Amino acid sequence: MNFFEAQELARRTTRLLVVLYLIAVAAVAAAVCLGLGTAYAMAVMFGAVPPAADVVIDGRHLGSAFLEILAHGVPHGVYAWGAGVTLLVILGATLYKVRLLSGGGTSVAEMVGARRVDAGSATPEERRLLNVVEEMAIASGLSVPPVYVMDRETGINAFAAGYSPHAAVIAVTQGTLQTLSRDELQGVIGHEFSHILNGDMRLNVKLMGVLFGIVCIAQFGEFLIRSTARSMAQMSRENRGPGIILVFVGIALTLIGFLGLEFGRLIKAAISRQREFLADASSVQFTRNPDGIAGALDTIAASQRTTLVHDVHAEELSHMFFVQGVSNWMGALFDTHPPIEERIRRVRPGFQRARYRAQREPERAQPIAVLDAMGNVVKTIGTDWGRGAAQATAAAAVAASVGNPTPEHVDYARRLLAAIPAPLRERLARPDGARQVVFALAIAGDDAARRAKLEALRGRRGDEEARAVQAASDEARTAGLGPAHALPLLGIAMPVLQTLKESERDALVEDVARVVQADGRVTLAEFALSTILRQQLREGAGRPVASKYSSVGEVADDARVVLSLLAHATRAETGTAYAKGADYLGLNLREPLSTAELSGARVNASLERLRLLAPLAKPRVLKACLEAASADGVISLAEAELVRMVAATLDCPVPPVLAELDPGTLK
Amino acid sequence: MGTGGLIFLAVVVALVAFAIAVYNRLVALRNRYKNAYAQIDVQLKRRYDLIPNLVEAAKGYLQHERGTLEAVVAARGAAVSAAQRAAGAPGEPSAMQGLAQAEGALGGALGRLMAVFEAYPDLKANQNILALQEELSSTENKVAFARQAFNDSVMEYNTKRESFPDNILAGMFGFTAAELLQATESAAERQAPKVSFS
Repeated sequence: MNFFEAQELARRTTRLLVVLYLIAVAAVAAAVCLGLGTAYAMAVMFGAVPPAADVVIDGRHLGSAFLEILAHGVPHGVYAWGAGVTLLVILGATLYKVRLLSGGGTSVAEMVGARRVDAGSATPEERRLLNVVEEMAIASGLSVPPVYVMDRETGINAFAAGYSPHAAVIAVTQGTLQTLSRDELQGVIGHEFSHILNGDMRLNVKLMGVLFGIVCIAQFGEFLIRSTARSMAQMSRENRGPGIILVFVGIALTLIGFLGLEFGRLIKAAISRQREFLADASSVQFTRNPDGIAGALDTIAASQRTTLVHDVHAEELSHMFFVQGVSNWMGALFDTHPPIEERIRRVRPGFQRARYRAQREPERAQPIAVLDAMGNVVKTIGTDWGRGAAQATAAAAVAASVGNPTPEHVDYARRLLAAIPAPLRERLARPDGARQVVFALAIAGDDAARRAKLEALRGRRGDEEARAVQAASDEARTAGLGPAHALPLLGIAMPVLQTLKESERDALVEDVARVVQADGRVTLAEFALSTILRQQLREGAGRPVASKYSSVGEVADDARVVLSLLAHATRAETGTAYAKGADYLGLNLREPLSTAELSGARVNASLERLRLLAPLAKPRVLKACLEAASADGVISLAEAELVRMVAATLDCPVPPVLAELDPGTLK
Repeated sequence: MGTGGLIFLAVVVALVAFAIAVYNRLVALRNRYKNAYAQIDVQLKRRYDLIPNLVEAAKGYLQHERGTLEAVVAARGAAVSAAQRAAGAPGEPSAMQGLAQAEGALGGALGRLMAVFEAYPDLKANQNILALQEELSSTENKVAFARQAFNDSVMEYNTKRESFPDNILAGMFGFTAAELLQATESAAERQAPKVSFS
């Protein structure tokens, strides 16, 4: 069976099931009619309604009299109204639900907390995802939909949403990005494009609407039982006849509703499974590579990761996922997706598991960070941490701006990691441990300052945290890690810290700022530490900022502030150092500001404005800082930290010159 | 009008409605394959635009592979001018053949460049080169997928056009058969190593 035949088969089966579904709806209507007819017949027997003129009730044979009434004595109006109202309720509920769910896919994606992938700030893995989506859009002849990533979902899954192809979006989980190879990802995205192309969302919304209508019938029945029972309790015995009939109608409606619902669910799940086969076959049509989708399915089966999506709205999207996204305890008949083995067998009959697993690149190991000398993560193997190193996507822009890790470089990073004692390294791997290391960096100083800062930390974070921070600080000191290692350590901690919740990140930034002030003074190193922390942990760090100033000239005053700060930090003559930087930028402001004019608040305000510079102007400012810092031919620790701080604020990669410095050689 | 007249009217209305539906469907399919053809052009242009950036970025790392890079630049230049010639005289066999050949040569040159990348393990560890490889393989994929989408839509159109009873209407309204893209890959392109970084 080739993929065109597979598609045709899936479509035919779907049509059959849809017909079955409609029959089920008709059956519900018929059952309601029967229930009403029975109720009417009962009413006649109880004498609540006079019998029709031509029906003779034989008092001796109640059973046959009952059937006689049911067959001839019920006015056609009862049946017509019963069927009509039932179908109207189902239709109305369907339309309501369709209206509710037919919003664009964007709203659905945001509902489940997915983040839109922006081409400008995509990590390499996200870039690959965007490319694959574009490829599949071309292959399927659809326009390119917005792409979302569910950052918090570590399972392997993906979904498409949107009532029409124009309003569609595609979302994948973080686990999918990390685990699947390019070919497999292509298979998954091709599958999702089939859902969009074949209007599966629309079909499913309609089916869901009908189910909702049937639920409405059941709920109306329940309402009837409850309200009648309540009013009957207050009535005398003789008057209860009509009430009993109403309760009977209620019970009948509830039963019909629940039975209809289960049947409907069963058929809907069956339809959903056919659509999955169709989507798998279409994925092969788009990619012409059955190994892609079969491999993705196999990888999912082989992976320890779950496929379940934990979001509360997952249920509504269950049919749009790539593999079963919602757990189901009712058995295979109610699964929205066919078993993975069956799907592999259909798309790739001769699929050899063991061989595929052997050929496939080895599972990517735990993330390994490759650092440059300043502790920047220049490359990570296994995750998308490398944001700092890979913000720019235009190929040329990347090449122009990022330092290249040379073999010595990587070797240096390894030595740095080796220099970090094991307990400290363990801390750095956990969010709370990384936080303690940052506090340990913040409390560094002479004994008196350290005591004062620890006291402030105890006040803000409690005894336990203060003790852990002290331990971390001692670990660093015993291992001989000095002030020069502060920023490299911060660089290692940063990716872990970035996984903290926003509120926790804000609290951390705030607390570090308070702790470094506790001894009554803020050193340049402390200023750099808290600024870098604030800039890299702020909301939206690493993503492009809307630029407000197109050239350095517009923020000349602010450039002067930053250059003056560097000029004071350098050991060269302040005026000379400032002039070098100012010359590079072509500033007219010839004189540096005095130390009295440089308050922390002023520097911060200037950095904030420089941050809003146009992307192309930022590297110039950074370069000017470097000119000023290297005016005397050497770069000191303080200078390196300040340049590093400016780089973090402007969201620019650290210049290679700096990145190649070994902190051990910095004074 | 009697019952017979009414039935006749109903049949005529149904037939006209059916004819309109078939006609509209054929128009939609024809437009789809035409758009798919335009997509191929778009993707080829994208590839031409990407190559200078790629070469520029790779220059720094590949001092010793100047020949390979120059071959890519030359092949790109030839392909661009061949595309212009082909656009000037659409459908002319010699121009189309020239374009196909130039495209093939370009594919081959790019393939060799990718092979060079593979030979330098340092490059494989470089974020920029990885990003470039991703862009390049994606562009190559896009060209291939655009061709494939064109052929798929042509097949759908032709199937619809030739099946009964649509073929009667298709003949009446002049829906002519569409040609599949065949042998768009020259011999050189077919021999080029498969670009795969997964």
